[in-house]
Amino acid sequence: MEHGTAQTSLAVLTFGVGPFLLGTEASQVARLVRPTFRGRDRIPVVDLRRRCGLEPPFGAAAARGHLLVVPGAAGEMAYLVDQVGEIITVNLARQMWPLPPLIERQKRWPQLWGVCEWRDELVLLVDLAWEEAQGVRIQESEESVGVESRPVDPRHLIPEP
Amino acid sequence: MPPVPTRPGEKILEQVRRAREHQLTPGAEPAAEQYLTVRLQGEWFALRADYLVEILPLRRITRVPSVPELIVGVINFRGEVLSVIDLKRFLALPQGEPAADAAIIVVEHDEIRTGLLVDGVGDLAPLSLRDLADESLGAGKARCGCFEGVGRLGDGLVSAINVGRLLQSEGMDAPTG
Repeated sequence: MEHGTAQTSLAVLTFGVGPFLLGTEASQVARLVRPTFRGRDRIPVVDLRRRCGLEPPFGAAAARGHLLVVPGAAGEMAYLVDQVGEIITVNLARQMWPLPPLIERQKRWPQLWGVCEWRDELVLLVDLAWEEAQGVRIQESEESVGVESRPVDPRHLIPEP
Repeated sequence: MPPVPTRPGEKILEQVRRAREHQLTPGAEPAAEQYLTVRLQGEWFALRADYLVEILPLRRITRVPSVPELIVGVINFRGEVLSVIDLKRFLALPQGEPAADAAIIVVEHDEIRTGLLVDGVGDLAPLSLRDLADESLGAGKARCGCFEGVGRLGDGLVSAINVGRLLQSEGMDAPTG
């Protein structure tokens, strides 16, 4: 984005949690890592299956997930998701909307904030930096996990043309 | 030969447009209140046509996490994202098997459009409503505040749902649980 010009598009990192197709502003995610029971580096983790009202994965299923690592003033926080999709470029004027009023009133997950369109799909948008910015403490059941030492920089994912 | 409708609900919406034009014509007698009949788990209900925007064939509805079950998800309706409410869940009716002719009724209230998922769409019919009596309610007694009356349709009765009250009812206006 150039200075003095209005932003017209946003890069969104898509990911899947159970049946839900979600996305977050790609710049919020510093790196993608795999959870591991052996990793020495440990970071606090939030299981997004719980946030979505789903049963958390167990054992091997949990290990197959991905962690989206989000930096914050108090350190890094990781969000456990089932699958990571691609980085998409969304036109702000034509492909992005706030949540419909009914859902805005009824949602129980404050980080949910909007909807964007990608091909024929609608992607629910979440603000992963919000929780850290609000100083929300991680519940004991979501304490921390080890992570692999070789991260993937999400910026290396190739955006769609 | 009349033109063949190209979209579902087109014939009904044309009747709605005519009824509205008739009401706007100076000197015209007020038209009878028009209601769209919709089917839910084999039972017929009615929605006042004033609220009706469009009838859509069932399409893919994107599920939304962390919302009450009666909100099925969201759809893109002509470049606008709408919530879709499962009317059967709202009225506490059994879910049953998905209906082959299920549809999404797009309604508008207070300048907000919302989709209502129904099992089927009947026809547009004039209904004269009489006061709602509790014993007349076949279903959804828990939500009876959303009904505006009962009308005679053929040999039976249909309960008319007030869309405005529905969208302002408990569970729609504030977060639940």
